[in-house]
Amino acid sequence: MARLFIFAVGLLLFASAWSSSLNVDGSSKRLLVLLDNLGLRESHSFYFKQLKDRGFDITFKTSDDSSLQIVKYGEYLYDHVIVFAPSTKEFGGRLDADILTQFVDAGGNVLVAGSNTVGDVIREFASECGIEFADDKSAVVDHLNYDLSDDGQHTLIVASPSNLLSSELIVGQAKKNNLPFLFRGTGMSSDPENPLLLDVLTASSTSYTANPDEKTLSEYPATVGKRTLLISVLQARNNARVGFVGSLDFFSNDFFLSAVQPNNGKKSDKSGNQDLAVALTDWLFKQRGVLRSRNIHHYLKSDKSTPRFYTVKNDIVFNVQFDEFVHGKWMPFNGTDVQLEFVRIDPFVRTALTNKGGQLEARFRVPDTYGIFKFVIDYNRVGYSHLYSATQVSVHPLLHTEYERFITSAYPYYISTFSMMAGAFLLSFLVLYHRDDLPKKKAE
Amino acid sequence: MIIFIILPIFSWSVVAANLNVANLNGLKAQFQTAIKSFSDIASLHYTLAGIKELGVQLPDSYCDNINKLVDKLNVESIYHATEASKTLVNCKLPVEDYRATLTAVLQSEDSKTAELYFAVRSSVILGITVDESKIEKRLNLLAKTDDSVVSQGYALLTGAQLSQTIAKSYADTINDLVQQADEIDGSILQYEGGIGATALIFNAFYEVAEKAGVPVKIDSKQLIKFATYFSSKRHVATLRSAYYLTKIFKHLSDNKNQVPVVVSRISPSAISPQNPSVLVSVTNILGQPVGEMSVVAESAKRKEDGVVVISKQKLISKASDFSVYELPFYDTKIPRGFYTIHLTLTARNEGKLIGLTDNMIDVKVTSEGTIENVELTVSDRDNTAQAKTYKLSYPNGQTDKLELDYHQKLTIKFQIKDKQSDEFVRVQQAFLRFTNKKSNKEIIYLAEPSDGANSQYKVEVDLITNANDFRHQSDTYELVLILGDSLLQTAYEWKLNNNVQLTFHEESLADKNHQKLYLPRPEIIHQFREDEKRPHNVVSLVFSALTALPLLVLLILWLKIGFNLSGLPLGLSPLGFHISHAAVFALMFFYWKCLNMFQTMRYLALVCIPLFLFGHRVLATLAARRAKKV
Repeated sequence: MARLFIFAVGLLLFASAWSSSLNVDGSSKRLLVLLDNLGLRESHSFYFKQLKDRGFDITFKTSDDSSLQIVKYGEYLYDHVIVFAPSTKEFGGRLDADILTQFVDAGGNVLVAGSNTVGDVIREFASECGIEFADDKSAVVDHLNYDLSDDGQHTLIVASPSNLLSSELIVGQAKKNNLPFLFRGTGMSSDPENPLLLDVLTASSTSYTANPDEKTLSEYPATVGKRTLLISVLQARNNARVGFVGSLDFFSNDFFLSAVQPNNGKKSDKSGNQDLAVALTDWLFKQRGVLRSRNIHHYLKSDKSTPRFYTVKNDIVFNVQFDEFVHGKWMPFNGTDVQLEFVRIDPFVRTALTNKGGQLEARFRVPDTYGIFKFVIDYNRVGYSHLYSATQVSVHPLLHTEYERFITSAYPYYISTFSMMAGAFLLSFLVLYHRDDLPKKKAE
Repeated sequence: MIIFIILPIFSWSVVAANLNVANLNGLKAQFQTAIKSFSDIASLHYTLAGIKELGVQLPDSYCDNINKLVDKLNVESIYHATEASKTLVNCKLPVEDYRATLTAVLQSEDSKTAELYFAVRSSVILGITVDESKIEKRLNLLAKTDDSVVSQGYALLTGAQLSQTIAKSYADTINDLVQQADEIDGSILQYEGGIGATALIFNAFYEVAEKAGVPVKIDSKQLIKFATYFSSKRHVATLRSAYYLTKIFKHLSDNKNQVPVVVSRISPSAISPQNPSVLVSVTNILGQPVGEMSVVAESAKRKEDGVVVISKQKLISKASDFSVYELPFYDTKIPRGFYTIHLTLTARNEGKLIGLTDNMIDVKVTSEGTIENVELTVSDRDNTAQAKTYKLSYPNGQTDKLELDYHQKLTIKFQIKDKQSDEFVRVQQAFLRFTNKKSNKEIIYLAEPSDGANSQYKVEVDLITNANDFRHQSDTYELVLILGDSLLQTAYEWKLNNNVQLTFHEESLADKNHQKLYLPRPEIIHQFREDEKRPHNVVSLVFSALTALPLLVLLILWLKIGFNLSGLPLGLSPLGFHISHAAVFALMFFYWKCLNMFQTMRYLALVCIPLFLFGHRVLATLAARRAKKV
């Protein structure tokens, strides 16, 4: 019995360890920052100050800290993790690529920055997300777009805002401000089969990623042209967000405040790094682009009642409230491209929902096919969290009394039936009571 | 040794390893932004004091802000208030308001080193006398319980407020504290706790030494490492750090102390015919000149192989204040490459200047390249037809449309000549880029140089073997040659032809595009089954009439042949039978009209009972009558 009890407790603990998941939304602010050395806190202090001003509860740890752990007793201790530790080969404590991947599976958000050396643990985690960093010692080189304060190897490149993803949710005002970005670091390539990855910033078409010390390229570079990814993000199917930036310096105070003087273009007094870094972090850590749906109602258009089931060809109304997380508050969502599907294996109806201040509504007629149907909203747009909602209803065929009555062309059938019945009724009198002997009497 | 030489010249580590001129403009800008709005007394103190250090005297109107923000019960707040008031010309604080708080802290047995310092410093500024021997005892006691470096720093600062003899005893401990600093990468020194702690402690060295009237006893190498650390902090987040940094930069450039000399290159790193010499600035950490020097380039070594190209060459002074020196470097004899110049300085009036030797400056010698002998050849794969060769010269591209099909291949050959040395050279980047003009997709090929001295580059694109790169998309492409090298003065992006029509053998494959996952899907409007076609109403009515006819005919015929109901027995049973019989038919009507099957069955069952009983009685009566008759 005691053994059974211990087994049961063990099973319970095991289950709780593996089932723990995070419910991350805009109010989750526990952030772990892993650093190669604590000096990064100072060289990147403007970035961290911006995060602190946004209310993040930041814990700084060096990546080789032996007390490192993100999960304790099956509960995650943080909602977000920043890994500014590119050269770390192995994390200290109880953290490795697997645990980081599980953290993402549980809904946690991660931001990873690379450099000219990228440690194995980060490579492993990146490859789980479909991102491959170029080999160690390589850097993104662009002999045509470099900053004049470059050290001579053309690795301090100027990334143009025209190569930035046009999604205001992810990049904020960075695209509109049209300021160039300073970047010094390694290039990435993404798995073309992975539909969840978004290329946020790519290098120009004259760039490549290779070891800048090599006098000639001995093999095809890790990435070439616009396929050189500088910043890439992933929104997993559970809406966890992971960001990869090839340059740790991208977030540094120096790059935030530095003027940009491209070798071939016009000088700008400020780089766009700060705008982009902060907007990207906001997005990654669910401060923006998060949707929720609530108050789903569906009812008959005729009497506004919700029946237990619908009948084919009913006119129905579907209602749902959409909210978007903006600046720490849930606000009504303004999108007008939300679609409702009425699905029985395949969608039978797909219609746009009209938006009145976050209240989305669709009216349609139930198709003339009966079965188990679902109202499905599958809203998947760049920058927004994926919102899927399904509500099941059954659709019945018409009751026999509900078919159309008194069809003119069916009158012959009705009349023939009733005349037959009348005939049978009358005939019953004749058969029972008719006497043929009366005329006989007359004859007698 | 070789490893050291090939180390990349750019520093990947976050901490720059070179001593640089301080970013004073950045600090000034930070204070000027902060001065626009104050939230607390501490930032007011640091801003006013910091900006004063930078030579701006602020008006006394800030005195009101001090009085407004100060908390009379908090010793730290009082400290900031007194320090802030000291920066203004005429700002007297009410001494008596603070006396109680300060005395309490000075008397207390629980106050920490920091609080003790705040109280002592405030008292000194306000002119309240303090019991020096008591404080010294208290500091010694605290040193035993709290041995953190910050606490020791505060102890030094407190010592600097006391008498010269006490200050002197503290100044002697500076060296112990220096030994506790952490060394990083062998080039910088800092204390645990980062810039805040390091700046506070380093500043304390100077304050206590000044009071004691002795020089700061730090080894010049260690001093340089501290200075390197502070100068690498180009931007700091807090006003406190900004203030202490400003003070430190002033101390480090004060001629009373050891002054580290900052040697930095002010010309671009690339040496070219347009920019033939290296300009070196020799200043203190604030960027001010430090007097006449003789600057000698001990050597200039090529990083790659350690070849020495310059040795013992004196630099020419270019400015009257001896802050800029020039080294003519560009010379046809110096081949292109990355070089490290080793500079040694000898001051006419050495004084307290340190860091005069072992100054390294990185430069690169670039050259101008020209693209020569460019040939674009379109040939058949099986060499049946005559190959067509076009000669091109930069920067002109082909204007005519170029058509290629899957029988053909495109070959481009070129050479790059170093204009200065007249040699053919190799470059890091030699790409041939096709850009699909519709989708903007890029396909890039590497041109490979031939072995030997002529370095002929060649790139070949075969429309059969390379078709997969293009995903067989027959389309119009732009053809661009990209040449770049860090040692080339300019890189080239040369549009060879804007209109290349490629035709592939196979069907084109669509690009993989996940974007459509994020787009609204096409609307689906359900197609309802169409109603069956119905005959015209007239037809229906005619046929309705026709179906009613048989009953009519029956009745007429019955009337004609005559019928009787003479066998109708009197009694209840015939009546009951016919009523229930009619009821069954009526039930059928209602079944059609409104009832469902189960209701109908139930009613039918009910009606059937009288129907059966009455029917049986009627038939029995009729049968009995018939039997009687027979």
